Amino acid sequence: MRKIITALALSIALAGCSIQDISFGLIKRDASASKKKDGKETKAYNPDRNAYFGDMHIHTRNSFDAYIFNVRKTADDAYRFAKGETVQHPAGFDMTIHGGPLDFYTVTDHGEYLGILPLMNTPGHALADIPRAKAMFSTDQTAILQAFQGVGSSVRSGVPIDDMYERPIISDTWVKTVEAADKHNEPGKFTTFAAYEYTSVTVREDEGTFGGGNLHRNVFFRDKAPVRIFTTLDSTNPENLWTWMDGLREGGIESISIPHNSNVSDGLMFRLQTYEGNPLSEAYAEKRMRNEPLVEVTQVKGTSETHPDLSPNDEWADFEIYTRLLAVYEVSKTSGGYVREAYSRGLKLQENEGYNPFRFGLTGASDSHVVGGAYAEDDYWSKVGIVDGTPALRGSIPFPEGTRRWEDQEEDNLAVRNATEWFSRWGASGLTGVWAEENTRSSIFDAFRRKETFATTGPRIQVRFFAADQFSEDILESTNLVKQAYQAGVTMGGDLIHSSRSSPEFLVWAIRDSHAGWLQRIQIVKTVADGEKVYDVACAYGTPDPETHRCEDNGSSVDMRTCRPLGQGAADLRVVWKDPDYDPSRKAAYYVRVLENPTCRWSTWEALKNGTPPREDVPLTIQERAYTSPIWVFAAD
Amino acid sequence: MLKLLREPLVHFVGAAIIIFLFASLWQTLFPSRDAIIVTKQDLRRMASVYSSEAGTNPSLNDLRGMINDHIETVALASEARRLGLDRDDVVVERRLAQKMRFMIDDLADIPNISPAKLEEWYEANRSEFKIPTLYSFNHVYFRESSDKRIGNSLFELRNGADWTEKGDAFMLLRQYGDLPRSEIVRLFGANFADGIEEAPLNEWVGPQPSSLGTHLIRVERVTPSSSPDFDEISAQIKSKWRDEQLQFLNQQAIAELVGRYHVEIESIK
Repeated sequence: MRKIITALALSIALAGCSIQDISFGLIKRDASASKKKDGKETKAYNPDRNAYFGDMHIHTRNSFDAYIFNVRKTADDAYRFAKGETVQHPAGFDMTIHGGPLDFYTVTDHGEYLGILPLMNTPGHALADIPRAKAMFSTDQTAILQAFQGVGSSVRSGVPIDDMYERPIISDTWVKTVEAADKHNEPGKFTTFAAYEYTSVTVREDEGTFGGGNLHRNVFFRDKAPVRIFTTLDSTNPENLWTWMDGLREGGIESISIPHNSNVSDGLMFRLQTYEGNPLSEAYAEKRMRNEPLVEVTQVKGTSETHPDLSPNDEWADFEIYTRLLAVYEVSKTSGGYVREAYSRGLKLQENEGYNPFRFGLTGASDSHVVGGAYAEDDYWSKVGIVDGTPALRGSIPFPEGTRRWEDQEEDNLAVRNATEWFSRWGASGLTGVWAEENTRSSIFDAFRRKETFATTGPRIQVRFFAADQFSEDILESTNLVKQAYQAGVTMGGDLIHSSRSSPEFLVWAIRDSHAGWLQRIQIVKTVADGEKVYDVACAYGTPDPETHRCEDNGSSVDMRTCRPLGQGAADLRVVWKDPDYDPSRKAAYYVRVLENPTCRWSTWEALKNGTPPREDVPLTIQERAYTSPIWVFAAD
Repeated sequence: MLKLLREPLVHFVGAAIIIFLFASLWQTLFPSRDAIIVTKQDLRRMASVYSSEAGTNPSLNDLRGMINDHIETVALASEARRLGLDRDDVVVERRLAQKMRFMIDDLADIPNISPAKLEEWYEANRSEFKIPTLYSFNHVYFRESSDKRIGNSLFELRNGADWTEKGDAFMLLRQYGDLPRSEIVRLFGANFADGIEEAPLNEWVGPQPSSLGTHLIRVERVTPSSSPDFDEISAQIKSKWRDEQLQFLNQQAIAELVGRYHVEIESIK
């Protein structure tokens, strides 16, 4: 009872001030949480920068679409999970992070109705008495679904549900979320941010269905954070979010937003129009880049790098492709939803109009709604909660549990349909790597700003990427390679203004995760305004063919009876590469893709453990990978 | 017999039989019915759910449909309850248990603890705050185990050559301070951690394989496992104590609840 009374007392206290007061308020944050002791560098400080790994996309019980699926764990639990403690999944089993504690982690609950559902399910709280609460927490499936979809509709339309939209409670929950982040932030050891998700989804006007394009963004604050957050219930137009962030920035509150699942944005994330359908402009490009330097390229709901239809000559493009619009079975439009195409579009705008709204770097995350991310293929729990918490529910084994043959599944069962259309196509991904001097908020946030980031599909592959007019000849043999590379050129996320007519030099260096597979190859993906090309640049075995730009087959495979990987790969690949097709008259973006040897996909692992055949409409094996932010190369005038 | 007929008890029993027969007949002719009352609140709820979905208020026809649905649901649900269908349903049971667990969780008031008592608790739980053995070491990295420089480098390093100039560039650090074994395993793999644990102090040894390649290593310092003084980490101790108390009190509340039941577990066979 004590908790309920405290919550009530707080909401009354907050209700005393108007929205106006709240919107300019700052959260009082314990300075010792974010600042290092006596302003000195932490122990592992490295001027040549260390790789730190984190997941910046995590939901807890305070997200409406987590609570409804029985997620009851808190931000506190989320941070404990990231630090290596064991936390329980809503379906009852234990979750422990794979590969050891992460360096940074951030809870990003949906800002819309933040913390409202838990109170609607708290007997005695005023919110538990509203009709929707009674329906949502009844035992009547139809009423539950209807009441919950009503919340979803409101988040999409931006029209608040009056008796549910308790701003003081949202702000109160937000303040507590930030307090939890501050409590767990330890400079030099573990970094957290004040962050939330802005949940914009379009509606397909012509069809009038629930399906629409995902335009979600996570918003991260560098240090100071406002008491009142901006959600789709203020405006569903992401450009208005940026306006709000610009305003905060003028007031000394620095933030960035990171969009995700452009793959299911119905082609809208990188379309060549504004949200309202107006032509793009220089002002739009500047505003977007000021607020959105990064894009999340991989997560549980699939890859947003590229699609086989967009990259027919890329043999590795068909990787963890997911196409269903949120919460429906309809398929997203492809063009406009993938970052590689966006880089080309940006370069075209740059060449023709002189501005580029798509000069972003890359991150990866899980988007777990059960407070802990599942990053390993052999220890997977998907992300939603009780609806995808078992192998049968996510379709890796026949439904219901105990069924031995796929043909014995009831095909008209809703769980089977959802597993087929959605959950079986999701994946055990991903993480963000940053190159930062030390593991502190300021150092990591500055790396986000520089776009000195890379994304992985789960394993902690480390990858460096530099470009220069020319590196010293023996740089790969030098023991201070990195220092020299920083001095000679630019690194991922940067622009190289190149003065020679011949190709600049690109230095790529990757090492495997000691606890994951061997590396098979490093590739450089080049995009220009009207095209793209994938080059193998370093191989586990031999060197790339100069004509085909492909590595020799390194003979790696997987023993399908045990999921044991077969064949060798590389632990450490490094190379200096020149673009054989360099054209000084064209602007270009280059990014790195590192591929591991094949390993069993999570669905294959679960089938193996269950002793049933793996399902046939998803791949049996995958090649885990890492993607760096690009380096943009422009010829000096 | 006549005397018996005059007994009041017999009158009473007789009357009871007559009333029972009459009641049974009445029941058969006019069966009694549980009430389903659709309240004003129910109607408002239905209307508001409808209007938030459809964007308009329900028409009289819509409302009639929703009321019929509602009545059917209530009737089916109470019939199901009457038949005991809720009892064997895992979903219903889990959901009720969850509701209950949430009501119990974190409601307990944690008593305060005196510094002396807290210190006592710390002494009893010292192992939880133990700092593991920490290793500080330098290493020189070679990508290939067949690298011909390895043997020569080891010789030169033992004779005082500058270790920062030897071997290949290494992605991670070449010098680590105060790493626990778990961190070494995370970065280099278990066999390398074994090598570090077994290496002599202040002496270049190797070649030592890792999951990243081959190394020459020199361990500079080993700090044995220790537990910090109470004063150094008293805030951390207090917070851990609180967490533990809360968990304990929650568990206790549940155990107390379970204790109200007589539990029997039948053997499987």
